[in-house]
Amino acid sequence: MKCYTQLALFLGMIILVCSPARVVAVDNDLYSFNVEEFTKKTWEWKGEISTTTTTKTFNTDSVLYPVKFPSQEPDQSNEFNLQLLLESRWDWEWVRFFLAGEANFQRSSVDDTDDESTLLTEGYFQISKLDPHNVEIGKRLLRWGKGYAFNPVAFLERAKNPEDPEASREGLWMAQGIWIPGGFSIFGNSSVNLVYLPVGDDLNNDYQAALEKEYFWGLKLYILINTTDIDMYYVQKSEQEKSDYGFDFSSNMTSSFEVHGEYADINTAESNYQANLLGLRYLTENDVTWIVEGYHDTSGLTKEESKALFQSAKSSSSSTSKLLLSLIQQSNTLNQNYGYVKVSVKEPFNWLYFTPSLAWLVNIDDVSSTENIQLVYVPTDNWTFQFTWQHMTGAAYTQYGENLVSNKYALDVTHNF
Amino acid sequence: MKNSVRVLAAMITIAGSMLLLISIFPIVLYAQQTPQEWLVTIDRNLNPPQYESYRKLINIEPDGSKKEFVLFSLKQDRDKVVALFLSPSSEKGRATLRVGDNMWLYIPNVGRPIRITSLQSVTGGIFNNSDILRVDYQAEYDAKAIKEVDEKGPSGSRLLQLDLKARSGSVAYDRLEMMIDPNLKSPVKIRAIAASGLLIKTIYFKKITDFGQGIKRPAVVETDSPLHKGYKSLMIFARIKPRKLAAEVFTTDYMGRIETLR
Repeated sequence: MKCYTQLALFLGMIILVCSPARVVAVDNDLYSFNVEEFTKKTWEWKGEISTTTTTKTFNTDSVLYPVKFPSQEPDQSNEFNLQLLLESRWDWEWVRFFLAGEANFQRSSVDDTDDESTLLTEGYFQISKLDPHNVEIGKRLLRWGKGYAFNPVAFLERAKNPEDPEASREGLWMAQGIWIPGGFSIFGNSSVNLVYLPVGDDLNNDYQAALEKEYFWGLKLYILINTTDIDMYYVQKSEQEKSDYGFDFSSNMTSSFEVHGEYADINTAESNYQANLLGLRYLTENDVTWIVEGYHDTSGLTKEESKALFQSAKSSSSSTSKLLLSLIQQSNTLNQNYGYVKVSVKEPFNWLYFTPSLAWLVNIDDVSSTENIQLVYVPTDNWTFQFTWQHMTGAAYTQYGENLVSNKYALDVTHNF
Repeated sequence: MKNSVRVLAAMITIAGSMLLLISIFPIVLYAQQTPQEWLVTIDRNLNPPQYESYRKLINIEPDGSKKEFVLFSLKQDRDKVVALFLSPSSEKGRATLRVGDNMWLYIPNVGRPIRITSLQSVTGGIFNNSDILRVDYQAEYDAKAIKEVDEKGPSGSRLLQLDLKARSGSVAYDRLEMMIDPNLKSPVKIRAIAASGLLIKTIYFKKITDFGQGIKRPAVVETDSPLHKGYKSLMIFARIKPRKLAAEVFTTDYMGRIETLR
C-alpha cells in the first residue's frame, strides 16, 4: 500500500510541477481579456487524468466473503488506479461528431484483480443541418429523470449506482430525434424526443442480462409550466409487446428550495412493477446544500426475502453461492425502500476551495446503511484533490451489513486539461 | 437712453432666464422620465434586445489568489439568457440557462439539465446565479422612485438614485438602489438589499466602452459584499454584438448544443 500511495503522490507532484497553470495565479492586468484565444475551432477536445489509491477493509464476517475468496483470506486490499478520460468534438458544416472514452489501469494487492481496460462511453453523430431540432445516431447516454441518487424513469440506460451517483456510465447504441417547438409552443419551454434502441446479438447485447432480442421505442414529452419542469415518458417493447410509462417533475419553490419526483410503471413478460422517488434540494443562508431523497421500488425484496437470500448464499453449494453473489453485487438496490441524504458545506470556516460533504444511503427495510464522507480541495483551476471514506453499517443478513467491503478509503488526484 | 436701459434690462432678463433654463434643463429633462422609463432606458443600454458576448469572470480571494472563468453568453427578450463555460478545462462544456425565474445547469458528465436556484452560484465567489445570468432588471423589479443625490458620477453630473422593488419572493434581492449617471444613462453602482434591510452586496459598473453597432455600456462589473469581507468578484465583457436567435436556443434540450452557436 505504501508503495502505491507514494507512487500516486509522486505522479501527482510531477503533473502539478509541470502544469503551466500553477497554484498561485499571477496578477497581470486585472481587466485584460484576450477573447481571440476562445474562438471556436472545427476540432476541440479536453481530457482528465486521475490517480487513485484505495484501501478496502474486507468484512470477513460477511456470508459473501468465503464465496468471493474461497482460497485466500485477505483482510484488506490496496489498489492503485490510473484513469484517463478524453472527450472530443468535430464540428463540420452539416454534421457534428462526438467521442468520449476512458482508459483504466488498475493494480491490486489481491490476486486476479489487476485490470487494464479501455471503454468508448459515447460516440455519436449529430446532424447540424436540422438545428435547432436534432437527430443523433451512435452510442449515447440518455440520462432521463430528475433524481440525484435514483432515477426510476431512466428506462433506456444503464442503472445509476446510488453509492456513487456521479460515476461515469457507458452509453447505448441508439438513434434519437429531438423536436423543440420553441416560439410555437404554448408552454414556456417544451420538446419531444423519440428514441430507437435495438438489442440483439451484435448491438447492446450487455444492456439487460435476460434480454436476447428487443426493439425499444421511447417517447419523451417535456413541458415547462411556470417554475415546474414536467417530463412524460412512454417506452414500447415490440418483441415483448409490453410498454413502460412514467413521469417526472422538478420545481423551484423559492430562490433556494427545489423539489423533484419521478414515477415509473415497468412491464415485462414476467412482471409488472412500479418505482417512485420524491426529493428536495435546499440551500441554506450559510451555503450548506441539502439533498434528500426517498425511493420506493415494488420489485425490490422484502426484509424477509433478502434475509433468506443471504442465508442461502451461506448454505448453498459453491456454484449457487457464486450466482447469488453476482446477483447481489449487480443490484444497485436490493430491497424496496431507500433513503438518501447528502449535505455539503461550501468553504466552511473560510477554508478556501474546500468542500466537505457527507452522504448517507440507508436501506429502510433492513435498517442497514452506508456513509460516505468526502473532502474535496480545489486549490487552483483544473486540479482536484479528494479524500473519500465509505463505511458500511448493518446487522447480519442485511444489505450493507453483509457487504464484502466494510470500509473504503480513497485518495484521488485529478487534473483537467 | 431710457430705451437703451430697457433693452439692456430685457437682454439681461432673457440671458438670466436662459441661464436659469440651461442650469435646470437636465432636471427638467430627467423629470420627463418616470422611474419605470429610466429602468427601461438602463436595460436597453446595458443589453441590446438580442445579443452574444464573451465574459471573463474573476473571483478574488482575501489572500489575493484568483479563479477565472470564461463564458460565452446569448440573450433574447427580457428574460432569456444562456451561458456556456469555455474555460477552465474542468468547467468546459457546462451551460447555464435562465428563462424568467427558471434556471438550469447542464454538466456534460451529468448530461441533463439540473434545476438550480438564483441564490446558488455556479462559479463560487460573490456573484450568484442571478448575477451571472442577468436578465433585464424590468423583468424582475418595479421601479418605485427616483431622486437626485449629492454624489457625482464619471461624467461629473450628480447621480440619480432609482429605487427598485422585487416583483416576487423568488427574486434574489428584495430591493435595489441603482445609482445612475444621467448623462451616460448607465448605472454606476447598485446596492442589493434583502427584505430584512441587510445590505447583501454592492455592484459597481466601470469602464464605459463602445462595443460598436450602437452598443455602449460598462465593460467591467465588479462586486463586493459586507457578508464576505475581503472577497471580490468581477466580470469583464468583450465582443458584445447583436445576434438574431431562434427561440428554441433557450430551451433545456438545446443546452448541450450551445457550443455549436459560437
